Amino acid sequence: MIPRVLGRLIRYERAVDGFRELGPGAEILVKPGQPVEPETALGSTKTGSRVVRLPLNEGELASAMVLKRPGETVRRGEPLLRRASFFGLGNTEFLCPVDGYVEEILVPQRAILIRELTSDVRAGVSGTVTSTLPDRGVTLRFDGTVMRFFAGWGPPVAGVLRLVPDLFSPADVARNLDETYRGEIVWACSTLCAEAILEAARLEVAGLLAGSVSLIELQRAAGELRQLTGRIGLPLTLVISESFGSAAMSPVYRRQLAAAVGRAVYLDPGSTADHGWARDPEIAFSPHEGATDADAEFGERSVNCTVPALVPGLRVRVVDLDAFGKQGVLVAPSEAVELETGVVVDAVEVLLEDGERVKVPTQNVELVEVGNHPAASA
Amino acid sequence: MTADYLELGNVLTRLVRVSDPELWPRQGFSPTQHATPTTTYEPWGAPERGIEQLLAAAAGLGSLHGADGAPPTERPTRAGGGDRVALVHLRGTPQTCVVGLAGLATTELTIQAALRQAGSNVAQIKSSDAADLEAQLIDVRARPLDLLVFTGPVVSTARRLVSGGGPAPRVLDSLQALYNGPVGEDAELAEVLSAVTNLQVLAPIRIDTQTLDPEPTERALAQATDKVLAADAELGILHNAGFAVHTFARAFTAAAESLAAWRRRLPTPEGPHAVGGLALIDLGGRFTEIAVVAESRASRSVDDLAQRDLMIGDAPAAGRSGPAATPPPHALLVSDIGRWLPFDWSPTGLGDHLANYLRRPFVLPATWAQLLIAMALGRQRLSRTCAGFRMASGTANWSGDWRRHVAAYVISGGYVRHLPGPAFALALAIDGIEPMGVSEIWCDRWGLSPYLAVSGRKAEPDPALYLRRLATVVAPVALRLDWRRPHEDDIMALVTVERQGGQATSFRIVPGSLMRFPLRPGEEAVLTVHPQREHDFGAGPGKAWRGRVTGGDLGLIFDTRGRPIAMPPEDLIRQAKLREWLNTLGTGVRWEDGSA
Repeated sequence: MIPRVLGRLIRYERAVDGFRELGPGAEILVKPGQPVEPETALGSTKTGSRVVRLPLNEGELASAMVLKRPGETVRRGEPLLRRASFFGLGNTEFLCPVDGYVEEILVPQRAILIRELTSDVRAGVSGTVTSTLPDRGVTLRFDGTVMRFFAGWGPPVAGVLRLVPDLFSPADVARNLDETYRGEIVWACSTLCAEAILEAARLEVAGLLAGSVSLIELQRAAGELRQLTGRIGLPLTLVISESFGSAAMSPVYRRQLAAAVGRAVYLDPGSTADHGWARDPEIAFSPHEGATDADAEFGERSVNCTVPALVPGLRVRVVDLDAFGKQGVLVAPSEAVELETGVVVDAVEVLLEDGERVKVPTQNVELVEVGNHPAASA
Repeated sequence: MTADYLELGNVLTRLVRVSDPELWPRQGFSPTQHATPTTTYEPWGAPERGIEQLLAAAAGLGSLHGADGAPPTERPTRAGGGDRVALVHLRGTPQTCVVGLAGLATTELTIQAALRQAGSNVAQIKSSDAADLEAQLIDVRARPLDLLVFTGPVVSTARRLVSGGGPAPRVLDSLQALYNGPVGEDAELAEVLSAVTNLQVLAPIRIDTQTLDPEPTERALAQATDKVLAADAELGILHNAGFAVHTFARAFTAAAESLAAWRRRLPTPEGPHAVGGLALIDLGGRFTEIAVVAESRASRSVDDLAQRDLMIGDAPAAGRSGPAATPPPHALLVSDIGRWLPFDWSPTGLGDHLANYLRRPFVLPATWAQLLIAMALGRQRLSRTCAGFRMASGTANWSGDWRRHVAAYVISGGYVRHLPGPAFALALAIDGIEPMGVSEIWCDRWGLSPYLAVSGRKAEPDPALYLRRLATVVAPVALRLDWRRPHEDDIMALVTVERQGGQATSFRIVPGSLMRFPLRPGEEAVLTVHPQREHDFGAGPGKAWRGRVTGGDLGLIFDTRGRPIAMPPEDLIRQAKLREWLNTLGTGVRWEDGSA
């Protein structure tokens, strides 16, 4: 078994090409060659369409007044339709449930097609626009740090990174989250409770970054948000770095992220799927002023990944389900072992960050470092 | 001479090398294997890098586990003269958009079935749904396509689809477009599409109100798929290395048809189940594929794990109020998976464990607990797939549940390959499929049948060489069991097994049990099941079933746990029963043992 090459979890690189996905129907606001700063809006996403069914019978169509025309912008809560009620003595208004613009009014179906308008997508890093792809997004080139995490949900988002001590329990949420985090990316070092996601959505926090979240907490929060907003997806970006469960964020991530607190970052949740073939989420940020190559953790990026030898000293991430997400280094080369189930497989011994030694099938580790990193050739 | 069989799956890329296929020993057959997670080289590389690594490892050009561990320096080349077949799963294979009026008409369904048979991803545009049309078009425009199939003269939809450049071709220079709608109404559509591609007009599937002829359409779609596979740059390394590349879907369907034909030629079994159908089931990391053959043509269906959300099921709503949300019908519930575990579990712990596993589905179960959880997930996936399967129209005249008419099941896939022994594979198959009547369970542990079905060999190896006959299973076709009622005294049937040489054994079977009769592998016997009351074992309610059966690795199994399988509501009793059932099947038997 040739294990999965995860590559570097943290890369500090020059001339990183980053793609900012805006989605179909997006309005692109930049041009190729244009320099951008973290706050520069690259475009406005129009993520999808929503059909708003008008609460009318066929006979009521003639007397009802549709207040918007195709092409007009609408805001959530704005009246879309007015009709006489109570024998003409009163008016009933039907309010728009989303921000967007009216694409089409479908009289026979008694429906209005609204293209949802979400927030502008900002660059999140300092760089240059290399290309724009209509209906797709924008490619940027920048110097900076890119960190790769475990799973993510929601739209890509840019904002200022803010650290909160913990969002582990409802009491932590009440103590640590408030209106000042609106539009920002909140970083909690351990696990998230459902109330943290709900409160962050209520406060219109742009993104949440944490070590882990339990499936049951995520499901509780998503279920309640669906009831409140009518949306299937999360209304904010959520990214976890380690695993589902209650793991704290690895110290390796924490060291790097600490340097970005108070600065603009770009959070890409990857594919919004829970499964193994999904793209991993990433966070990217530009170096702080005065940064030098000495700050770079791992040197140049190697595009052509090759599988390195499984030699002691190689850094790995364990995905064996009993030690899932823990990072460590190989302490012994692979050898054939018989598992307790009786299956004979190649296995490696790993010294985890917490000092524990585990022996796991080679298939159950991911190689974190490749190419020219000193540990790979040690 | 060797044969290399490579699978570009969604989870793993796997290379199986077998020597002298005609001489494979039946027992203990274990080919050389190399595998790597398909996502290994993404997003910074591509799956072909993984293929390259596997070919190099198989050729011994670079050993991952060797002392030096140097990466391969030579490019792998074709092995000397042997078979090389590569199968590609849906990921990355032809992307098709079917544009029609309603989305459910016979022609559209037939075309969708043919496309899936050919191994293509299918997106559907329903032109009649004006309110949702633009949203559908936006989704299709956003992703590169290989093939556009029109099932009607939907000119305005086509005009909107191609506006602004239309969908981009994925691997071909231009999109392929096919028309299979009312005769003589394609001219305007062809004109609209002329800016992006030429429209190829096919003979209509519906000849008149009573007659359908899908063959010309199926042939055209297969040709279009072949064209896409040949042009796909991602697969270039396979073409260069001498691999014949097919979609897994097509090979899988061909394998089911080939195995069904082979089973009909066998001298045994005799009896009511000899004329039954065959089902080939592949339980992979992402897809559960099933192909069922009644006469000669297979009906195929795919269940995509990506379409099934993992949900706790009875999670209370967050906050201080609100009822628990009702899980959607397509969801995989943690509680349903957990009921198969013979130990205590919590929704939180099991939910996180499963969520982590689904995020890294290539992980090998390393402990008994991990193995049992993976098997529980596999059972649930199989159960969902089998419950949702329907035979395609025109392929069988079966009434009721399709499993009543199937006499042999062949199970394969990644979930089966790493099980410690045949008893685990049999447990997975019986619990997940829930066969009805008398049926044989076979296992294609190394997943060779799809390769051999499309390899083009003059003489296909005898499937008995690489399939393992696990057991013959006897189960009532309809039994509702309630563990709250005492049932141990109810006798379901009197059974007689007459072995060769005249030795006969008679015994009773009771509801709620799993029982094993040690009929040796390959040993034939005459089985007679006399049902009590109106129980039905395949011959009809209350009628005796008599026929010749053959023993498998685990003999003859009598499964009276109900359909669907009923479990005791009390956790401790349920866990004890699960352990008892596993032990009954013979968990100590290893693949190498080859006998019950």
